[in-house]
Amino acid sequence: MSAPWSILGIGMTADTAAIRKAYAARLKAMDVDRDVEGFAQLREARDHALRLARGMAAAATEEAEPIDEDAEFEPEFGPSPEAPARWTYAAPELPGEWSGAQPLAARPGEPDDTTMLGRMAWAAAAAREGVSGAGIPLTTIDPFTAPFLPGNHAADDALGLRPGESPAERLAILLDPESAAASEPLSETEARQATRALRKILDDAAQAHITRAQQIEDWLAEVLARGWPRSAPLLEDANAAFGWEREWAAHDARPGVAFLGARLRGYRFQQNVLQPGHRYHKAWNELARPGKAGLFRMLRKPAQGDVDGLLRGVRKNFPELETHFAPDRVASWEGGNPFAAGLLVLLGVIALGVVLALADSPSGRRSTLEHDSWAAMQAAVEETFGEGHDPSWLWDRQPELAGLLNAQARDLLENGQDQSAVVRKSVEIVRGRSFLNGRELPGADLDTAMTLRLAQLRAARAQSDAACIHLRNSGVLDGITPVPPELRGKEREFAAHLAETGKLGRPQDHGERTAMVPGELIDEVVDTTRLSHDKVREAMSGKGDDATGCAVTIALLDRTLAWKGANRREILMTL
Amino acid sequence: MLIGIDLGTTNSAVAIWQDGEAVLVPNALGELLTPSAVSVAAGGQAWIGRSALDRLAAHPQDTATSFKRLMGTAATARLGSQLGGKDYAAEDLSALVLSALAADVEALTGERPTEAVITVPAYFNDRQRKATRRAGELAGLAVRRLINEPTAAALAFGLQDKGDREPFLVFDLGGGTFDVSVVEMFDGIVEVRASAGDNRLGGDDFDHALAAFAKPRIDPEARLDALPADRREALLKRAAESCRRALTTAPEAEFAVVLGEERLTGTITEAEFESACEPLLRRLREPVVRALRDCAIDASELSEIVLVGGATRMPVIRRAITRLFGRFPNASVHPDHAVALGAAMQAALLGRDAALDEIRITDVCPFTLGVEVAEQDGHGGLQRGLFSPVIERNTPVPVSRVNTYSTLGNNQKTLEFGIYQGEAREVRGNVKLGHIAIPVPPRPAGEVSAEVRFSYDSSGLLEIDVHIPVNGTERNLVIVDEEDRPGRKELDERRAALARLKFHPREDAAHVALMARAERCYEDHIGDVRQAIGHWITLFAGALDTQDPRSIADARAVLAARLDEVEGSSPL
Repeated sequence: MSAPWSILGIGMTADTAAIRKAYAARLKAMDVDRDVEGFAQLREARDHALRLARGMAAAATEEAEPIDEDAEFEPEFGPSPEAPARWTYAAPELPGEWSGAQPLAARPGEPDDTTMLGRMAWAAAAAREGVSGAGIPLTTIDPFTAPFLPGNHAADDALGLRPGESPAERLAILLDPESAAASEPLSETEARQATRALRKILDDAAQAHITRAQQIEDWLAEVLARGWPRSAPLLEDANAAFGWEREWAAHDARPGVAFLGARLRGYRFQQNVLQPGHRYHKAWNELARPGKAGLFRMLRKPAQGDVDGLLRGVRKNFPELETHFAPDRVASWEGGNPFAAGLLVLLGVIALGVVLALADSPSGRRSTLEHDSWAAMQAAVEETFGEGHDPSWLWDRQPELAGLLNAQARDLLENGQDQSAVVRKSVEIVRGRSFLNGRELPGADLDTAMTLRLAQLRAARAQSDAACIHLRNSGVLDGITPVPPELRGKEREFAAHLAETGKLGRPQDHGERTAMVPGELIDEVVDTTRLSHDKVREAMSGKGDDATGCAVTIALLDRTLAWKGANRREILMTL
Repeated sequence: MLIGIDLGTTNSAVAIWQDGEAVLVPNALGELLTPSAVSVAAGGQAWIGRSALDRLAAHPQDTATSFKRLMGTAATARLGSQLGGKDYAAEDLSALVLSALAADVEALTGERPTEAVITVPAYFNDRQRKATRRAGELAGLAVRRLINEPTAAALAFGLQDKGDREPFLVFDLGGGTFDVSVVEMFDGIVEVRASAGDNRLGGDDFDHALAAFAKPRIDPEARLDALPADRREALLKRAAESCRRALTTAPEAEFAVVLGEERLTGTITEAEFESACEPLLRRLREPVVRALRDCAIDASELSEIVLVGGATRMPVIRRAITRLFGRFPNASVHPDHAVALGAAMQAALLGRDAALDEIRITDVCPFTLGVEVAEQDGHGGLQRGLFSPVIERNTPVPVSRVNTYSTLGNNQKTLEFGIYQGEAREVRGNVKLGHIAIPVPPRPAGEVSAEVRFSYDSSGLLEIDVHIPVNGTERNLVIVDEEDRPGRKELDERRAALARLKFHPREDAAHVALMARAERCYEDHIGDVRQAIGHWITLFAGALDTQDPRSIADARAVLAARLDEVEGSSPL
């Protein structure tokens, strides 16, 4: 007597009622809350016994071999993903007008190696497609035996239906992966027919009771999965009708639905990324172009960060989309820093040479633009960090910032701005970062950052109180304020110093900060500004007019820099 | 004494086990259902049930309904007029309803109940269950067990004759939640095979859909938009409710809102209502499909479709169910009473009542419980935020399962587990229940493993143990007792705050409710009728002032008859 029977306390039997009776008796004798493990065992034994009993009953009626009790646990595998998906026309008898879809290879009664394929085959296919993206799930469902009552379908030109043909049949034919057109997308006419046929099928499902609706759903999932990628434009509608979207995200989504879900999400992403406004549009175009990336990939549209992001995202979410990329190009982008050592020196020369060579070709304009942006980058880096610094210097030290400045340059030039705009923007970005990042640094760097900010505030105030407040609140000079050459020199020096030490990365958002300002400091501010205590306090809490706010900010920054008290750093960090 | 309570979104009910059967207990007005409504006036005067619901018309800012939908969230309602008012969480308001029900039992039996079985929607998540348990404690009731509503209904249905039953499906659409359970009965065992649900779908949503559909029709100039939001919502909700009710018996009904001295009205047909609810009707399908799929039972094998919950009275719902299953549902149990009766039966089972000696019930955990994990992907990256199930949904409870996890980094110092509930593959789509961190000895990645045990008991109390075999460290987290459980002191304070509210004496309940009803009628009518109702209210108030029981009783009878007449002829 094996485990389930001994736990239930009965001999092996095919009588399900006896099994339940034994289970009930055992259950009533135990306190499930005190014996959780015992309850789990009893329940398992009951379920196992019921499965065996059903197997015995089935075996007895069919006079077939007894079913091995462990059969259901043995995984079965469909054909390998490389092999073409096989159609299995397993269900032979179709009534009346369906005879046009007679099965081609019906073997009724004969044990077919596909008949045991069910969830496991889908699961195996789904497991594979995670890597290859090409596995097509195979089940016993026959696309031509749709779970539809074969009503008397009149010929319908709009659907492209021949007499006696049902919408389901039409759809199955249109999406037949064996057909000659299987590798082509649906033509306009076919797409229209398929959409209409699908609509009819979905309407039918919406009206049907739950068992039939589920049959339709399973059938449709199968046909769409087999018909992928031809079925791509139909997925949205089917998804909306059956709520597959919610199921995709579930950890136990049915493999067939999960397969379609992954495909549709990839398809949607692809549709979006082909729109010029998409964040990864340029990166996509770059990677999809055949051939290796040239030396100028740094100067081309996409920033390294975008390419990396696109690759990471595609690999994580839509692995099958990587087939759209040129492998060579992916490999050269994955190489890392494009300014490989020996090539650096030659870069400028080659750039010029290529521009000349391409000047007559259709892509000439583009290359010229690249040249413009290169020159603009040169000028911008020199103005921002001082003479003796060039883009490749910056790229080595702060690749992210270099990428940002390059992208800025490109956008501005493309929008008809000139080189001076690129330079201005670059100075502005680095000024902002020098302040925000310098403020987080210890010791002398903090003092330098704050001293520079003080000078900037004073320069802005000389222009207007509004400019001063604008700088305080947004961190950016208003664009009209002239910056004294001496201050620019110090800014350059500090920026170069920060870049050398790798401190010009993307600033962190630290949120709102507060600090206690000691009375003695406030007294000093009052003395300096000759404003009343109340006015000063008001301004420090962000109220009052621009003139007061500006004066108090400058005075407080000035006095704090000269002060040596305990929370000097905390106060500076709030300014 | 151990009582069974159905704490509903729209109505609540209480039942006790008496002489071998479950009996519903009437409230002070003699009704078996108590609306789940609470109204608190500026001075701390409070109304619960029918009178509170009637006050919604005239005092929407003081009155809360459908608060069960906010159970387990931080949302609060400010009642008792905007300024001097207090904030009440859903569990506070629920506690007030629960104590009113307990008082009804005391009035009937002379004994104050101390323990309760309270029903919750099967698809209530762990937070919502915890909040319900706290509501019971705030009301002075020790909650012996939380039982799923469809399970309670199945008990009430199944124990009618105690005979064996092939799997049947309980379709429970209440005011705010939707549950589906597949249940089987054999040899005295009531076995829940699978449950699924949508804890954001109920009769309220159908009212909203109807109001949204009708509003442009009755108010093309959007004059209602000028009202404060709570007042506008209250007006539309009540209009939708009565219109929906009228549509259960007639092919068309009037949707009417009284705005100042004017009635805005429009006619809604049944077909229009049905098309307005179409998106909601479609949401009924998924939980049914999921429950059937989880227990591998085909819809055609079901012996019955048992309807529970007030919203299943709607003809549109019945039609949708008939279409869904291809046959007519079984309406033999009372949709509003079955859950409370089942709760009382569960109470009797817990009390080991002799009449139920041969009955046992087993339920399932309707959702998946697990931990957050990270995995290496094929490209050397680390995928974080993945959900690793430990207890799969629809596992019989009580249950205890162990999974083993290992470290991902070299010399990792701590193992951290976020505990989640839900069905999404990534944890961000699931509900976070808690967090456990355990120090581990520094070793190369993968060499330290942790055994994580989840234990889920019959009441839905989840306990987690983590064991590190390498050095024998143990950590234990009882989810319910950890994070959001307020301390004993805080519970006492909140209970005291609720106790400070002033309630009308039980013997006044009838005229308090009548006065609230009269005020509602006043709001519902315009012109001469309104003036007349105003006059009757003055007369009744005068009679109350005399404090003479006889003249109060007379005045009450007169006013009730007059209101009946007005409401009988009113289209509202």
